[in-house]
Amino acid sequence: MSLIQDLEGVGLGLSKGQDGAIKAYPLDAEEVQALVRTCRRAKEHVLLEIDGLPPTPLWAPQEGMAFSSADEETRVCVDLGKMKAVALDRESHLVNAFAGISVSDLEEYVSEHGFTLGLQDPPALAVGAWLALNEPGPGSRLAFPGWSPVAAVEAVLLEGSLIRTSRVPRSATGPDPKALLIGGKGRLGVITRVTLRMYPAARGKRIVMAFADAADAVGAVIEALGQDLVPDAFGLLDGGISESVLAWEVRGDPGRVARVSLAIDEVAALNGGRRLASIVREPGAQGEMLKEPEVPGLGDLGAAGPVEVRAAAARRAGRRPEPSVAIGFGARWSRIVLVRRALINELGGSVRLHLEKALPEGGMGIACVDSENSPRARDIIRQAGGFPVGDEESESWIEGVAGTLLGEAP
Amino acid sequence: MSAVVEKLHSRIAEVLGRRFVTDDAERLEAYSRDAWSRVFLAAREGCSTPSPDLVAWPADVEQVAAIMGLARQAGCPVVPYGAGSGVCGGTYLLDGGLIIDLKRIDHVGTVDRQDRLVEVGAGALGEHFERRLALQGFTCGHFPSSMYCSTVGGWLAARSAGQMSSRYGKIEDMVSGLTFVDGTARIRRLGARPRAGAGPDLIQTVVGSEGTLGAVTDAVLRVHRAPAVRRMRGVLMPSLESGVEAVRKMFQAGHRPAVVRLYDPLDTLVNKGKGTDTGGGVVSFLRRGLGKALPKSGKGNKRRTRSAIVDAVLTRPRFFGELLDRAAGSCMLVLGSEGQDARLVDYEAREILSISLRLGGLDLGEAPGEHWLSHRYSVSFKLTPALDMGLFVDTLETAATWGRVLGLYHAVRQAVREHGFVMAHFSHAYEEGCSIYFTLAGSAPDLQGSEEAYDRLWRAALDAVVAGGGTISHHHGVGMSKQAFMHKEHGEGGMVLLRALKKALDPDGIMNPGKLGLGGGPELPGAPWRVTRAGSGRGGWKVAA
Repeated sequence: MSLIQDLEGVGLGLSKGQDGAIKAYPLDAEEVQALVRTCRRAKEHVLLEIDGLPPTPLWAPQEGMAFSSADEETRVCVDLGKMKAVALDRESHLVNAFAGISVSDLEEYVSEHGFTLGLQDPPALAVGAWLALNEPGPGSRLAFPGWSPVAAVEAVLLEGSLIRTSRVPRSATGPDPKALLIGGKGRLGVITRVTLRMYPAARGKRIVMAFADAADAVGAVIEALGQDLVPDAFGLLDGGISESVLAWEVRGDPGRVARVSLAIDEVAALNGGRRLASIVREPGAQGEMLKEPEVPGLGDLGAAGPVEVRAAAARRAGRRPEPSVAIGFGARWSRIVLVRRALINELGGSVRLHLEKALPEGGMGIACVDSENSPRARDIIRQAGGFPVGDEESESWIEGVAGTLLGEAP
Repeated sequence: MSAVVEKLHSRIAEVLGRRFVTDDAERLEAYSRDAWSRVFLAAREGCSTPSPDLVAWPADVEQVAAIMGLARQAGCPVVPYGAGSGVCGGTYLLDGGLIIDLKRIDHVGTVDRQDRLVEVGAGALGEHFERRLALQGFTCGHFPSSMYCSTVGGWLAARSAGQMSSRYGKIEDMVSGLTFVDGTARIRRLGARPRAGAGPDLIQTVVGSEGTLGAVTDAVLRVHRAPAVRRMRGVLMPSLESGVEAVRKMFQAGHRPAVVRLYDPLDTLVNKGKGTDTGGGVVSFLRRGLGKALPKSGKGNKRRTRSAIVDAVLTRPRFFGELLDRAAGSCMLVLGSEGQDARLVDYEAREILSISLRLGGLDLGEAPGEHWLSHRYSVSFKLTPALDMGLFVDTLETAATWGRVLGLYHAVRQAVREHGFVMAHFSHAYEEGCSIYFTLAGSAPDLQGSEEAYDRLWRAALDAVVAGGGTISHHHGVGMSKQAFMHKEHGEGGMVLLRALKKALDPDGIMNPGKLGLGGGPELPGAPWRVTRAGSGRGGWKVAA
């Protein structure tokens, strides 16, 4: 029997793609489980493809080898588009969703019920793939420890068993299995359902400040975080030779919002900042922090985004804008200014940084450089004490666990 | 001492120096138990617990890696050891082996004031660590009741929670980076960088692993400026339901008070509404309330003199529990807010008090909060007298979402009442739920009876926890004491993943075997396991590859 017949035998909805791949349309985790087990029992090398994720081999690596491609692979594309059901737990502020719904649709759903996921910019990606990639990550407050957006995960492991992590606020029952699945790029299993935390949609206030020097803006952020002032959303755009712009948004209880805003203003003033705008944010309002048409003077600073800033600067200098590449990176606060300085020293003044997340010990965002400088820029970031995203030590770790899982009999 | 042990001893001595490895029986004995109540029962009767074969004191990560490499070659089980304050039997070497005591790795670095990070050795004692931070104007914000007798490494191993976790987080929230030596003796350095949306968080696969994957030697922890302002408060809530509702509303409104402790009616009654922690309250209550005939200390033949009243209470726990419930009513709620900015701290303190009062609370002023603050570590020192009285006292910490938390509370009490005395407080609150901390007590006439009663009580409690949608542990860990329930906590798939992680990092299975339900060891609570002295110097180790 062929694999497609085996899969039909377990009742899966299937079709054959023009490229020869088998397309499967499971309805729930049990059907995904049946699919994975059937593929694992097949006498052929099956490459599992989930929309949005890199292909995952379902065969065990050879002794001493990493996962290499086989001579002949059968591709099975899993379409989770039929797995989109959502359920709210209003009392505990949780939403349980199948993995096929997009994060942006899920945000829309919870917002209809007066909640928000609290993400800075909910992507159109399916929620399962979003977690598997762990990109683009949550908004600033949710990236703080203790504010993770994920309460629980259900997944089918690649050896065929089903995992449902406890839906409890916290536990001390060994390593956290979620930590292997979130960001695991599907190498260990297919995420089929998630439970996310949600928050009452509330008004907020966004304060936008300008600083003559990027180092002053970073200094203000360090001081604010040192006072345990945590932004719900955050943006810091390095203005290059013009002013740098810092946006700090806080949401929730109006009394708290007013007091935190005042404290942020004070911190900014002490670090040489001047307020450009204070904008009331309606419940559920999202969008990029520094594309705010209501902010007077923001356009003059060219603070529409790092690519636009670079283009405007080039035009002012009478040059054609070079193609830009955005390199995701993170750095401790004490290194951010060093990273910026190193990039400018090595690559010239057209480099712009755009920090999109403030975490307790550092910021994360993008460094925008000429495309030809991209590989060099990664090295420079690393040498200055930053960490280009994707420069992780996790690959061998995950492969080791995956190898063990796939070494198990199906 | 067997030739195998002797050879390993010599080779470790070559790495560390002879002073820093021992096979001395008395010193081995000191490492034969942690603070697990079940084994205290045996120790109370003079039974020795299994000892390790060797104890080593490395000074840094390289030495840890070197001696773990030697242990691996010898097939010798290894347990990393902090201060031995764990309460789940997480450090027992059931078949002998090597204890790696990390207390020499106790450095506390200078706080990086910009990044608010500090490097600390796994062997640093909690109190010393916090004092060193205080000298620099910072706090870690981690204050477990074992503060004086636990180490940073122990906190990380067991996913510890401090009394102010509602503001500062649990230990897993505080760790930015760590260095550990895996079961293959490879040194791995993780994190110490800002991360969000950047691959899997490997730190969270090591934190909580209780020494089953490797030995954590150093950590980079997040710290905070020491609070400039603190406001404590006590509120008497008319019922447990109103108290739980108040806490839920506080957290779902976005407030993060450092201290939130809601004592159930019985705990409030036992502690006379002072806001003291429960373990000590049980002892005081039994002493105060059940007769001055009880001896003040455990010396001599205390059980023979134990009063008939206590026997009556502890042999009829359901009857007396229900009787006390009728006398009990209100619930003490202790609140504390702190931070840098008085405007924000005062605002939060006012708002959370206001939420409590709107739900019928009676403002008791600052005194109950201040009383709790000054007695907050007392509980760890009051359990020994309970043991001396012939009781066993233990604590079970679970957590659940708000929708389940009250049902879980009632279910556990109902289940435990057949077997012992139970009261609880609610703490460690989050947006979606909170922890419940049960104090359990019981007794039996002899050791075997006590062990069986202890296991019955725990089994009943954990069955109720699992059925009620709670976790089997919020912050004490699993060790050996709850491993029979790991499968129910994580399911088959969860255990498959945890075993795969174990095999990837510890392929020979030398790291803390027989714990966390990862294979080997008694299926407790419930398996007919008795403490027996196996003796050291065997060297016939059998580790599960």
